Amino acid sequence: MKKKNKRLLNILVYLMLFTIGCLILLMNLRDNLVFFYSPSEVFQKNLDPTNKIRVGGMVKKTSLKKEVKKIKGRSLEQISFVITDFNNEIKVSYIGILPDLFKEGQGVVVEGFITSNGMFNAKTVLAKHDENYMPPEIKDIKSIKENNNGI
Amino acid sequence: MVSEIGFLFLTIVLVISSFSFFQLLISGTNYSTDFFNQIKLSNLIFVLTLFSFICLTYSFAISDFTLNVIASNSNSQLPIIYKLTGVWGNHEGSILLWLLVMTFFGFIFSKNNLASHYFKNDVLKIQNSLCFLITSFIVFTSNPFEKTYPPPVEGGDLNPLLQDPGLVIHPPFLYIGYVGFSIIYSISVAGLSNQKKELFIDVLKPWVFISWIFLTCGIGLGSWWAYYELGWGGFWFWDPVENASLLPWLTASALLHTIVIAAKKKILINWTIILSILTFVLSLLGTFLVRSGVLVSVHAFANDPKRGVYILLLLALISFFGIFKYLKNYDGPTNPKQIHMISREGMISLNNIFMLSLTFTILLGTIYPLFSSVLFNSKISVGAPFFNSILMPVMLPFAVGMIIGPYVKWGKDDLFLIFKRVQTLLILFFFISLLVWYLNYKDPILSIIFIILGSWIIASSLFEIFQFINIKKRIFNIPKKIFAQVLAHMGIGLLIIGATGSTVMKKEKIQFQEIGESIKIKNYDVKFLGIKKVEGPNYLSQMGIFNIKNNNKTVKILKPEKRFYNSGKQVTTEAAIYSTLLGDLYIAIGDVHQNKKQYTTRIWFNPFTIWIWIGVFFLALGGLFSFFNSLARKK
Repeated sequence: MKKKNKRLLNILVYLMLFTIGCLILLMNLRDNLVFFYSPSEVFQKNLDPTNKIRVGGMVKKTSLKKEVKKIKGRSLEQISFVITDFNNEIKVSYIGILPDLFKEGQGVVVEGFITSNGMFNAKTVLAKHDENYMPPEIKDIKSIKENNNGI
Repeated sequence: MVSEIGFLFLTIVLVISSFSFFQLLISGTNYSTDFFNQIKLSNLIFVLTLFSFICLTYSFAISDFTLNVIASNSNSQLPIIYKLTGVWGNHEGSILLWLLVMTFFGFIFSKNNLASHYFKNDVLKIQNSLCFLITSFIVFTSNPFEKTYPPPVEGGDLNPLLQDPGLVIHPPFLYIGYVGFSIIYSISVAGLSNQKKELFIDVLKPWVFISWIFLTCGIGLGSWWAYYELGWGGFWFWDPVENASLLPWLTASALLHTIVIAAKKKILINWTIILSILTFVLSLLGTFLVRSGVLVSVHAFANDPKRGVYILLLLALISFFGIFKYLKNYDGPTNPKQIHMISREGMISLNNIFMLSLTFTILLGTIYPLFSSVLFNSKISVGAPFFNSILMPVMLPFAVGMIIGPYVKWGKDDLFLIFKRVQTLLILFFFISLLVWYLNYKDPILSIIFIILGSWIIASSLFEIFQFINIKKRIFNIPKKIFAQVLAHMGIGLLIIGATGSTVMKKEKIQFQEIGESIKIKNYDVKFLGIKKVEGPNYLSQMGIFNIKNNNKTVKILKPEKRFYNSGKQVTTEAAIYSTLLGDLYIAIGDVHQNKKQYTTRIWFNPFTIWIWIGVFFLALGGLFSFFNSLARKK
């Protein structure tokens, strides 16, 4: 009987350790989540500008602009373009090199922060390995759009 | 014509392997009621799959655009080497390669003299059944021999990112690793129904090592390719696809530690079996994640959800079969002997706990977005910060265990005795830490901690060998297994140093650089000399020429490129890298500015990056020593 109790206690201790571990993990996970929104959702939800988010959609045609800026003595390229989900659009600014597969009229996902004036400050522009690939989120948007057109 | 024959071979494979599958359903792993000789079946399956694969390769070589995969993934302008490797540059072909490797493992196993005829038959029955499942997947959802009508005059193109030597060898290595775990699964599940579980551990051992070596190299090659081909300056992005390959690697690493105890002490045998099954299931899960497109991944390729469902079904079937067999044959703990915490067994158990915690964590981070999109309908992604924040604290106790572990004796040991054994080492650690601090004091504290940790692991591994030499007074008589363990642990040490250097300590400069302008980074002077237009076999390249000076002496001319592929309108970045033992100078060139004089350039200095690849090499070498050791022991 005593041995059995000891074993039960052991199991309980392990379970508790496991639960604590999981809780720590989930807390940590929650702090590091990056939510994905479409441009429409960005406007609907009042988003916190301090949270890093991802916005995905299509790059609006002829919206890509590049200009050179001097920042800390180095000349950098300030890139701006517009992401649209065909209902709403958001202007994105980005400093750096665009990925090779970035093209106007194609899908893109940017990661960064909303600024107070409603622009998006991208820290990363995500590239895809495959020109045929489209993030599922954008596919959804596209199919909704196509359906709407059908009606 | 050839492609029809190829498909015919594949269909025959499907039919023949179904014999094994139905046999398994009817009689389970019971040899006496078998209609077929599974050994002969497995050989036949291998030869036919090989023929089928050759037919597909031939079709790629002659650019037979009547086939769908070739029409969309190859091109008559492609250099012949990329035509051939284009076979696995697409989903259908790569799954056929997967099947080929799987049947090949069955074939090699059938030539294994260690297992009894009876046991071999059992193992191959399961292996052939697995081949049946994969073949059905190919035939019904991803047939590489599917025709397209009307056939195009010219094909699309092999994704230019894949037109690279790194990608020529990366998938075969990765697949040999992944699929090698199928034979481990088969041996373990077949071993369950055998009377004596201890017997099959020795049969299992070499297969664990060989698969692990290939998976290690496969991941290493993939990471190396991502490093120089993507032009992002990093080597690991915590992307779902990368994590998918890391999961079975972690459990396999746990497995190859455990199997050493299992073979030596005849304990933890049930645990070994569980790990074997888990490892193969995770390999399949990896395939599911990569091929189904359920996760938003930077690496994701275009894919079809139907395939995802099918793989998920296979995954469920294979894991339930493994679990079912395990529960059915569970006969209580194999050996009720207690394991002492302070003993080699205890240390290896600790290693397993760490490895599995890591696996669980990475799995959670990888598939959490899936749950979240199903349960809460919110689309999220879990980024590198999560994985880094978990990995870093876990690495500390893990490294300490790695350092002490090899100095702990089997059976039962005493803390004081261990301390006495390593006291010289501790003094050594003190001086190493001072040295590392002195050399890197300007860098972030985190990087110093981890570089010290990496150096400790390397030092303790070397110390282990020296200690051995001192005692025995014979220099060349280091047992293979010690040597293997030392090499592998040094590999991890090097990996930690390399990874720390190229993440925490890296320096990045992005700018518009004018021709003739110099940029200073670290102690290098990067001068932009000019741009050259180069014509490749199937692309046009804009090649930047950079002169690298170190202390006013030219050390290297770097030529990063931006390639414009003729066929697919796609552009790739070819980074140029100057590697030294202290760090890599890495240049990627971007677009030209409107004034035609300035180009966007991205220059990184990634300290110690080369040690990552050397570390992977050490790991593989250690695995190789263990492999030969496990073979030699049995003769």
